[in-house]
Amino acid sequence: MRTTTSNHFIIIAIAAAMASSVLQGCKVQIPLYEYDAECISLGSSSGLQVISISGMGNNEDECRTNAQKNAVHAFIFKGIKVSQNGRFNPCARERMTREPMSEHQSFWDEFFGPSGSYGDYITQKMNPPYKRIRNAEDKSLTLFFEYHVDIRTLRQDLEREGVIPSANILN
Amino acid sequence: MIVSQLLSNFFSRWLEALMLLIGVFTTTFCIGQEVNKANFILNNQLIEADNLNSYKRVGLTICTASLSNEFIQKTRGGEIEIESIYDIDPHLFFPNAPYQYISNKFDVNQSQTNHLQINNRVLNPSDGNRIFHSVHIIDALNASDVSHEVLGNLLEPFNGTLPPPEVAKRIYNDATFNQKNRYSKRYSGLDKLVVDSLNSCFNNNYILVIGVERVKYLPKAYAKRRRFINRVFNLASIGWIKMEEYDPQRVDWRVGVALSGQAFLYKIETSDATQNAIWEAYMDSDRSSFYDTDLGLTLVQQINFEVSASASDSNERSKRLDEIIQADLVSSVVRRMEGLESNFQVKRTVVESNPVKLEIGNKEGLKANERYLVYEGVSSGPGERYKIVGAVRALKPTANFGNDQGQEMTSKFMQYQGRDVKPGMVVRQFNELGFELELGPKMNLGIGGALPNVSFTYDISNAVNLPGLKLQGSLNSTTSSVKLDPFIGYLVKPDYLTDSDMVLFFAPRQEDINSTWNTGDVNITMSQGINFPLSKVGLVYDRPLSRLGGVRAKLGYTGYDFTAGEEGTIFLYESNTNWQRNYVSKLRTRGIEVGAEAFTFISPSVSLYGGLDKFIGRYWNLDENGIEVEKRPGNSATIFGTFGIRFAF
Repeated sequence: MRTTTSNHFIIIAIAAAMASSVLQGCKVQIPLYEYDAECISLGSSSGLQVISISGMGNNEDECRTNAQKNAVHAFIFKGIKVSQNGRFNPCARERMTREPMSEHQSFWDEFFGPSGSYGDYITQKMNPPYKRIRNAEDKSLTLFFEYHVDIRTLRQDLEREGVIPSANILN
Repeated sequence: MIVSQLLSNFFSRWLEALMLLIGVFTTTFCIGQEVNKANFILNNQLIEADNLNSYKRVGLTICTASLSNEFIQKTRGGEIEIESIYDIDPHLFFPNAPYQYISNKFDVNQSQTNHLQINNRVLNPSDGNRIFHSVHIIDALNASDVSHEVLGNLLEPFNGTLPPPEVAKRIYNDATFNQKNRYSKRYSGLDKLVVDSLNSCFNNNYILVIGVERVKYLPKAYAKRRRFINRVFNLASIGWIKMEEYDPQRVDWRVGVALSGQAFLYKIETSDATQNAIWEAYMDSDRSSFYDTDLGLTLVQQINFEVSASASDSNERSKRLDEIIQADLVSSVVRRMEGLESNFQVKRTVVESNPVKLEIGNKEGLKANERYLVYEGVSSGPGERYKIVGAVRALKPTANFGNDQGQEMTSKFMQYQGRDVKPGMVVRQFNELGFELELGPKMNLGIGGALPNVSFTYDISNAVNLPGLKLQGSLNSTTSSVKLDPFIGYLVKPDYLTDSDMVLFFAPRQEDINSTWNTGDVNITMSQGINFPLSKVGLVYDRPLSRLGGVRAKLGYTGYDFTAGEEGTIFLYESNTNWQRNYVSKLRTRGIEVGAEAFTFISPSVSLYGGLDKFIGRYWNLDENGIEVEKRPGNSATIFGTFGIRFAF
């Protein structure tokens, strides 16, 4: 009888482990700051720029959050590449800093954290995605959004914090 | 010992429950995965991303063509004039296409060269009739330089400022709400939208050539009958006449005419040199280099057509027959081309789900009940492809022509097939004929046995211009008889049924039943004449279940009233007891039909279905004295099971 009971425990443990692994397998580790950013247009007011940005995630909310982080990250660390129709590109932008994130890691961790202020520079956050791509292998999701980013205020605030060089020095 | 036994029992049951739970979970998970894989394989409707680029309005130029190689040479004043031996009937080769009938989704170029004469002789080997050939049409188009004429129209209104008026119009038509909103706030600038639109203005131009090869004259009887009768009986009995034998005097435009022929769709191909020349024309106001560049013509689609019209088709007394047939001709050809040419199909991103909302409306030629397929992007390796995940139908198209700044102009759609539709997915116009065909057995689970069952649904709403009207029916065949069971249904679409489909139907039926069920013990033969009144009123409610396809609930009231005498007879006999009674009888039933049916989505045109129908009702017979005798006291129930495959065309 003792043997039977212990066997039950073993079977239960194995079953629980299997179920756990299956459930864990549904979640995919999303790589940070991997995105496509493209200039769409200048915004309606000075300092606003409209970009197309992608965000990966396991669900729509995660994609949206990551896309907003990516939109701000693109202007700071990557710059906005010239679009395919590059004859007229009103908002091609150099990155705001050439320093890696590790230079001010604690600031950026907080800035892009769950309660970070990255979202303050984006308007029309609830725009629906205009494109939706599902990864066939890991089932992760990539959504593409159009966001208006207030880069003037973003630059001013980051310069004040001392985490990016002044625009005059960069240019 | 007791504790140990209790523990053992407890764990044994608990373990069973847990194992059952895990088993169910694992099985569900595995089935889900397999279903996904199966869907992936069965659908196999992956298309390349290039085919789902955002919708761009296209320029369409319509030309008509006539075969005219029979000439008479006349000499007048020392010059040779060539005349066709027959006059071209302006009713057949209309000088101006009825542009208003091809909706508002195309930019129709008002080409000066809208009629081509094809002088080459190509004979159809089967009947010796002269037919059109694409090579000769391209020659005729090039001889008239229609391509430069069409693209030149885009340059002509240029007044020195960018964007030019034609491009600005295209921007307005192509742009989504967000783009338009953004563009209106910053109109003077050149952004991606302007550049894209300018390029698309020149890269999306088509020439549609409609060539009539044969004609039918319709007798006056044609006009007196109704449209469906015309098509089936009257039209088929009249022979086609070659265009060489065409006599305009014989056509009575107050009666009817039918035309057949071929339609060719060409795309104007522009090269890099052309693109540069176009930009030069805009930037430097120098158009000479544009007119020196070569423009190619590529045949992209070719179809045969046949249209007919009679005076009875017209609801408006003032509308002439030639106008009707021209409209029918253009609209039917363009609609078929929409199904073939990807650039003609409207594509948009889903803006909102539950209910599904799309930025498509009358401006894009949207019609009620029009079908759109839903795609989700899939990345596997390099590049993206799109997989069909469902289908939606338009509920009420939005009139999005006007100035919609500040408010969203979306139309609601009803999902009727497939899994959940999410924002960011894309839809593509997918025209259909409105005909559904179901094939599969219908089994009487009470008595046993199965009958082959063929059911059809035809959407006649377009024909009668009454949205939602459907003609439905079934054809149940046995070894000895065929039963036709038509009924007419009206699609009820109140606003609160945003993602469902409800059909209210009424079925005045006429039946000719002679069916036999063999159960080993009892043979029942029912026989009725063709004229007895039946009535059936019901409600069919469709609601899609996410990831499964859909489920259809049925509820109906049936009143069958088989009259006696020469109109209806029922024979019942039981073979194994040699009991056989032939008597004139009347069977009356009253009952409720309830049922449910599930269907799953395999491809845009094919789905599997299966379901159960239960009839709960009462039966009465009339005896020889005409007195009603309840056949089976109390309510009786009969259960039918159906499954099969459903095709949608």
